[in-house]
Parts: sequence; structure tokens; C-alpha cells
Amino acid sequence: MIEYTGDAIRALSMEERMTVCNMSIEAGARAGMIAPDDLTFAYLQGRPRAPTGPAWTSAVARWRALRTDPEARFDAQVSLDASSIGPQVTWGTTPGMVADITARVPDPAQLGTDTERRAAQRALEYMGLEPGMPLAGIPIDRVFLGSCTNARIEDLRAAASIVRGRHVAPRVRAMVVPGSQRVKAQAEQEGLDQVFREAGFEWRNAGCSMCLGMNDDVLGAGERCAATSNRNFEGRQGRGGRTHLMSPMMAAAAAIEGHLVDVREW
Amino acid sequence: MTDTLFEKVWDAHVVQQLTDEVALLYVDLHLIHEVTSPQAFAGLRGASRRVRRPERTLATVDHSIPTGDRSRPIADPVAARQVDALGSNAREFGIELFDLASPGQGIVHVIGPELGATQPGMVIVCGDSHTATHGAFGAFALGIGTSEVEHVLATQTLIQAHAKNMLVEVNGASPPRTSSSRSSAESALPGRRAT
Repeated sequence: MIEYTGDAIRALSMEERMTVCNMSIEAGARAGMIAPDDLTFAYLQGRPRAPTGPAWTSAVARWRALRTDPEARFDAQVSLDASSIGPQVTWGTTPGMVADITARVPDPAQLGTDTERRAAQRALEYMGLEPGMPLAGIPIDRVFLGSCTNARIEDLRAAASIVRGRHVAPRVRAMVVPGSQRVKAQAEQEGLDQVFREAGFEWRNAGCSMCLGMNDDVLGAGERCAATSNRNFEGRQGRGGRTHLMSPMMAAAAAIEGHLVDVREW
Repeated sequence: MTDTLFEKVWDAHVVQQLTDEVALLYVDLHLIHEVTSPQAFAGLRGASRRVRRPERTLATVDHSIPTGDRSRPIADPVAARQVDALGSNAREFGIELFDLASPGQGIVHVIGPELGATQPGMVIVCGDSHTATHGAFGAFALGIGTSEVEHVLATQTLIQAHAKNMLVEVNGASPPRTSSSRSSAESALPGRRAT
């Protein structure tokens, strides 16, 4: 169980907080939690299942008490500095095999333990990558903008801001799968579907889709995909498919360039 | 006053302490989808049980459905069977379903918050590992297996071992284009743990 706290967490939108908690399972936790605050209450107020009237007022009063006491003890503690972390891209076959977009594919021989060396070696073979290759520049065949990790309206807005007025690179097949039909309707109301379509993206209906390839949205063997989903396991997006996980803006930029790219340089 | 957020939510939901570590927890919201629920409903039916709190259960289709043209029938026979099964199970057991034709359909972890069904302090479960998403609202939300789905349907409770607590503190201003690096902190975390 991971609780996330700190200035950088409190500064996140609800959509961003959901992305963080969503990935807790990939960090080995059963669950992730963030203490509710005014932003949480503002997000919920007026939604169909949220309490109303006096019930709302008493719910918010109760919810305000939901925070860790100052004297509470944790079994483990980690501190991260958000300003030192660049956009992350996975190079291997677990979400933990990840690096800054400015980094190179690691050399398995340089890793600490035998288990890590073997795992990295196997991952690089599966991914078709060589140690020392810069991550930026790795060519891709497919782009998947979707999943419960990153397919809310804010994610689609962020990705649309990158692709607006541009076009998907030749030979790249890119799709947007909104997280829900309401997200899809909202995006269409804002004209985002047009932005994506004009840029050469497929605009699809809501579902888990190519996050796990249980429907016919799958990668072919050897196809390389920039994906905003949560797992890059062998065969996750289709047998032999190669997945690089990244944020919606990073995936959108990769679609336009046809290869992994640092979106901050745009 | 020495409890973590998790411990507060946990303590408020203990129906019965089973051992030092293990408790029976009340579940506020049970989200179900077409892939991990058919066997659970079959189990209920076999034992002649009803769903304990249908109004605390929400169903949608997301995992195996096609994302193309919805006016055509589902071509994949397995997916078609799963979707049909969820439809008839929801009707039989009185559970609200957001089906393929519904404007409220979507990925289960997107529609919970969207409906405001996901609320602070709740225990939320779903037969899907990314249920942790709902923790963004200060809920204890976790993925469960199919046999647990059946248990929750029948009893609205879940047997759980108390979890260890980890605090991840993230400070420092995000770079100017925050959205581009939004996945950075959480992506960096598994990396940090793996190395």
C-alpha cells in the first residue's frame, strides 16, 4: 500500500492523480492512495452519484478527516524530486525497465545482479534493441493513446495539443481510444476528434482495447508501439508485439515523428 | 492520532477481525466487467445466492469489446458470449449495467470517478488489477480475483490481510509542460524499485 504525498502530488489534477495511483500496482503495491482535498471535492460535486444538499456538506466534513496523522509511521519511505525527473519511456518488458527519454538503452552487463542482467538481456532480445542506443530515435510502427491509465479528457486534450496541425508519420498507424463514451462525447464537443482525425489518427469507441489486446486491437509480431497504457510485458499487446510505455504527449509526439522523441524539445 | 490514511479507511471497514493480520472488510463499491464476472455469477447461481447489495455494484463492458463500429454484432464469439453473459447476469441480479449501447459505457476505472460513484474513504474492489486508480480520491481500492468477486457479490465483504504502508513523497516543481511529464514520477518509481 503506497500513499503519495508532497507538493508535486498536491499540485496534480484529479486525472493526473488517477494516473499515479493507477500505476501503483506496477510498483508492486496492492493499492495507492492520495488524501482527498478541495480539488477532490470540486471534482466530485454535482456528479450523478455524489451526495447532494446536507448529505454533501456532511460527507465533505467527514472526508476532510481522511489524512495521515503527523505522528503516523510508515514501514518504508521514499522521496522523489519531480524537477529532476524527465519524461520516462520504458525500454524493456516490465514497467520498471524505464529511463529518461534523454538516456540510452542500458547495457545489461553493467547491471548490479545476475538476475537483473539476465532479465535485461532477455528484455532487449525481445524488444529488438541494442545496449547504448539512444531512446530518442527508436522508430515505431504503432501508437496507442488509451487505457485506464491515460485516456481521460485531460489526456486527450494534452495529446491533441501536440498533434494539432501536424500529421502522423508515414507507415505509422495511430489510434485514440477514449476511456469512456462520455470522454469521447466531451472530446467531440471540443473538436478534438477532428484534430486527431485530420492528423491521421483513428478515432475509436471506449474500451480497454490495445492495452491488453483482448479484442482485435493488437500488435503484429515485431511491431513496435508507443503506448500510454500500463504494461509492457511480452505479448501484452499481441504476440511478439513490442511496447514502449510513455505519457500521452510523448506518445502523440512519437506518432508525428515516427520515432521516440523528447516532447520538451517541441 | 498515529494512523495513516490507509489505516483510517481500513479500520472504518472492519466487519470482523479474523486473525491479527486478516480482517473481513465491508465493501462500499464493487465494479464488475464482462471478463472476470461470468464464473462468479455462475457460482452464485449454483449456490442459490442473490447479490447482497446490487445498488453497491456497477457493471460495464470494457475488456474484450471491439472499439470500432458498434452497430454490427461482436465478431469474436468469446467476447460476444462474455458481453451477453454480463447483460443477462445484470438483469437477473438487479445490477445497473452500462452496456455497449449506453452513453455511460467506458473503462471501469474511468466511469467510477466520472459518475461520482468513487468517493473518499470507500473500500472499492474490482476484478481488475488497475483498480488502484480510485485511490486518487482517498479510497482503498484494490483488484481482486474471480473467486473474490463471487465472495463480494454474495456478501459485500472481502477477506484481506493488512498491508504494509509505504510513503512516497514527491516534491519540487514539475517542468513547465507538466502534462508531458505527468507519467514521470510514477514511471520513475517502479524503475527506482527495480534497480
